Amino acid sequence: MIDLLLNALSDIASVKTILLLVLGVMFGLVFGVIPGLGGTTALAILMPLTFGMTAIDAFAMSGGIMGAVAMGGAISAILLNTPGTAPNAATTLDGYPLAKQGRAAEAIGAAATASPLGGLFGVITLLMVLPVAKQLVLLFGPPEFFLLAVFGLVTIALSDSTNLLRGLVSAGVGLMLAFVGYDTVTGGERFTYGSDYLFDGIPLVPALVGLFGVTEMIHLSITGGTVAGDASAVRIHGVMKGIKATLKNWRIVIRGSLTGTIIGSIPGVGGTVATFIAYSTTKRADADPESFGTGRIEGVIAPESANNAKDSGALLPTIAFGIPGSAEMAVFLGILVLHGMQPGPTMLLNNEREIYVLIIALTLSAVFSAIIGIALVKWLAMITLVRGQILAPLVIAVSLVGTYAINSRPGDVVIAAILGMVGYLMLRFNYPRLPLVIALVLGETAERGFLQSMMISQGSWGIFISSVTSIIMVLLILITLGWSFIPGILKSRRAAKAKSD
Amino acid sequence: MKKLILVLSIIGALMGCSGPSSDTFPNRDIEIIIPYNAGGGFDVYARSLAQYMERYLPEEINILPINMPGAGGRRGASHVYRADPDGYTIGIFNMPGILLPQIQGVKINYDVNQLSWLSTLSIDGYGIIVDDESPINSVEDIKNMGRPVVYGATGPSSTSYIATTIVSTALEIPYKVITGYKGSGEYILGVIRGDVDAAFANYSTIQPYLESGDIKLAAVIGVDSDDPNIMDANDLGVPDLSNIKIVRMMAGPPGMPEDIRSTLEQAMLSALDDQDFKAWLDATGNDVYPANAVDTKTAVDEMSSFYDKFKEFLD
Amino acid sequence: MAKTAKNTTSFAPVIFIFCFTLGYIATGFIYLDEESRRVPILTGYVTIFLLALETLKWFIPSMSQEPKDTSGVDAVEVPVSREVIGLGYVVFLASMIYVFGFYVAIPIYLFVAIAFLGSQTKKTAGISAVVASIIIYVVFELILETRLYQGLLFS
Repeated sequence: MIDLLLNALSDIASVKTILLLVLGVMFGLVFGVIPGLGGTTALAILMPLTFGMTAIDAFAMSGGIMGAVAMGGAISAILLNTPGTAPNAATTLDGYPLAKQGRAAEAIGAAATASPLGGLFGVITLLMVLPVAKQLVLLFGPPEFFLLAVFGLVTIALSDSTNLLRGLVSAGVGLMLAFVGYDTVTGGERFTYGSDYLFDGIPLVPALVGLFGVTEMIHLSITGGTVAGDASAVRIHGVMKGIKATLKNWRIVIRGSLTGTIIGSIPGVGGTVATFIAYSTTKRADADPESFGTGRIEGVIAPESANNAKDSGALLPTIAFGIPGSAEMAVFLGILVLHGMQPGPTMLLNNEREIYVLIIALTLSAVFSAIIGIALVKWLAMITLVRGQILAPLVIAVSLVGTYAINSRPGDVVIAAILGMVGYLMLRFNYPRLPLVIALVLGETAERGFLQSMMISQGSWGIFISSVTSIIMVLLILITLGWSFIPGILKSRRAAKAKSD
Repeated sequence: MKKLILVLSIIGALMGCSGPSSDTFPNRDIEIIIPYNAGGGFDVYARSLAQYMERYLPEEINILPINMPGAGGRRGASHVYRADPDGYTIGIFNMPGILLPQIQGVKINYDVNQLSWLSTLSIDGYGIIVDDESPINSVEDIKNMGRPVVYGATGPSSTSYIATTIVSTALEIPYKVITGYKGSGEYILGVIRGDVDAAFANYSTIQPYLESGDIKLAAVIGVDSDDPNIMDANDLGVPDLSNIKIVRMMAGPPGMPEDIRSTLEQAMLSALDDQDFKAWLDATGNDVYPANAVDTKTAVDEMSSFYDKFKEFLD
Repeated sequence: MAKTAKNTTSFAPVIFIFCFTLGYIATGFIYLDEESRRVPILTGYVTIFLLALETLKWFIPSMSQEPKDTSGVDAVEVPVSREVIGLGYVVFLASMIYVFGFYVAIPIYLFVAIAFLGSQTKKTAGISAVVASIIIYVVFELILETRLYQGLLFS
């Protein structure tokens, strides 16, 4: 394996290829920063450019794009609460509060360090499991998908311990929205009122841009001021502090990276869920979970470690069976086909060389984009000083344009706008938005997994404990439930006892 | 202030409206609508074709691929149907994908028979696949299972599901379909995992899986079988079933003038004959079956009547 | 800390979500067949149950401590009228985009939002609107070649 890696490195080491890689990084950063656009759109738009290139060059550029998008998205997530890409939504939770405290530079520094480190661990994990890639992918079938979705839902809906009930209500609403659209399991058009647009359901990226980005910008435009409340509090030199924080919290980096790789490898569940779960588990394991959301640097480190690792994870089913682990991988497979390769189980045999080039490109890209991010941090942090009255309408405008650019559907703009307003109301009435989002992402997977499992088992519930993987998932769910409720029950018991003494 | 808005509106309007087409076609870029997501096999094929078609059109003319996924291909179909028949908007379609909703009476905004059909690009058939270690080796084995066979498929209006139901009903095989898989890759995995017994999958898509030994073929439909051990529609006794194929065709809006249609058709057929394109198609396992506009329209009509005939077999 | 609008305690959200869920369940019964609506309707019922619990919390003294107010120390009181106007601007932008398209909607919205909602000078608003619109045009239309929506009126 080492020799394969070294070969790949020498493949990349030509000036032209490196330049293309860096070009990819630039594109990735820009596409990442603009809300709505992301790796998938970037790859799709740049696919035609790869026509004349050799496969190695094309993969180097693709890797450059994919690895950099996460960093770009983290920047808008931190500075503007607008996730540049869907998985960056988790970074807004503590990233934006940090920016509001004038600690944007620190947050960006932390994210910039977590990304390449997380990505590196992800790549190492991928390379270690590559020999058993096929068996790993085959572990997951409908029952496991269902249980995984439930696990994701439970973890995140219950992550806000002060607001459990409202979190569950949000999750309920999110699920109801997730069921809108054509259902391939039962074959019915649900809640679409005949609309062609709603046929495909509520789209995720416009929903996220609306709920997180537009909402906070509406908030900013109403309250006035600047993102960072106090101009003098903005410490542009906090970058080093952020970098050190990530290095100090290497355990969180590893945990986030593992989460990203594992969950990112499950087709359809993917990056967004991975970063949210990384965030939630880090919060849960922390000594002071309730301070998360007010500006804990760990709340940036965890999701950003997961964010780059998820690409390694997504490569697993892509390489093993030619089944894209994420939307970006789907477009990437297209680029692969464009260069005369056939996706499928034979890829690892026939196209090993190119795949290793991609892996190296991904890693290098994460490093390059981090360096660029840190170099630009001074200017980036200044965005938090721009008058909100100007910044907010600008960001809202660009967000809506970016959202439209994904699929050229005006409906996407409407969804982003509506959910921006709904998100604002949720913000003001103290209903957590996170569970709604995660339910929107996982609802379909959960229902499909459940219905298909029931069809396969012909109605027997035993199918959910019929494989080792499914039993492990059930245990994980029970542990998470216990962890959420038992401390609360014990606390109230103790309080009652103290009262009676 | 008001003047500013007026000026801006006029600028907006001017930028928005396309100019009138002049005499010689083509004199500006042509849009080719791809009714599916970027990155899918279809999308890549279309983009590649677009690239090669450009070689056979005047120098400055580009062919711009535009993805318009949605509603299972219907959104793209509607867009092309409603566009001006000036030759600057064409689409590439998966038949019978967009034909089926029309046959099944779903409310749609296009009429497959009215579209100006330009050419056929490729034809693909189906393989009935089972896991490599499955005791099933042929359709006979499926019939003798002693219980309904369990298939995997995507959605109940997908071409794979339709193929599954029509063929199984015509061959009198008791069956059950587990729908809901997100794509063919996923239900092929389902076959390998053992969640389902068998599935109908695109013949070209399954080649790598056959090569790696993860699955094997029980039969083929819509493809002629050279292997005596693997039966095709003729061997199975219902030759009509060999009409069940997936055909990629190109079409424009209804009422396209003959000369414009001819120009596009020629460019397409030349591209399909291009050496480099053929080499790429070979490397990626795509088959080419070029056909001109007239033959394509005939094929569409035949397809319409075939599926109409077998309509009752669909739930 | 940046300014934050103070959170509101009110019964309105419960009622709103309740109506939405009720409408959702009704739609399920009217338009969907038995199989398709099973899981969504079940989710609706569970949500209503949760809303009932939330309502109960109001009346049971021991449980009625308001969940932690995340608005923080620097929370400011924002008049409801301003909030409605702020939301209204987004409706304004979205409708303009839908009807007139981006080329008309973006410059107008930016100018109006910055000058009136944002209370900046007309000069600042005008310059920002023009510059931003040009940059958006260049990046999206020219560089990315995405055709920006022209609105119902012009397409």
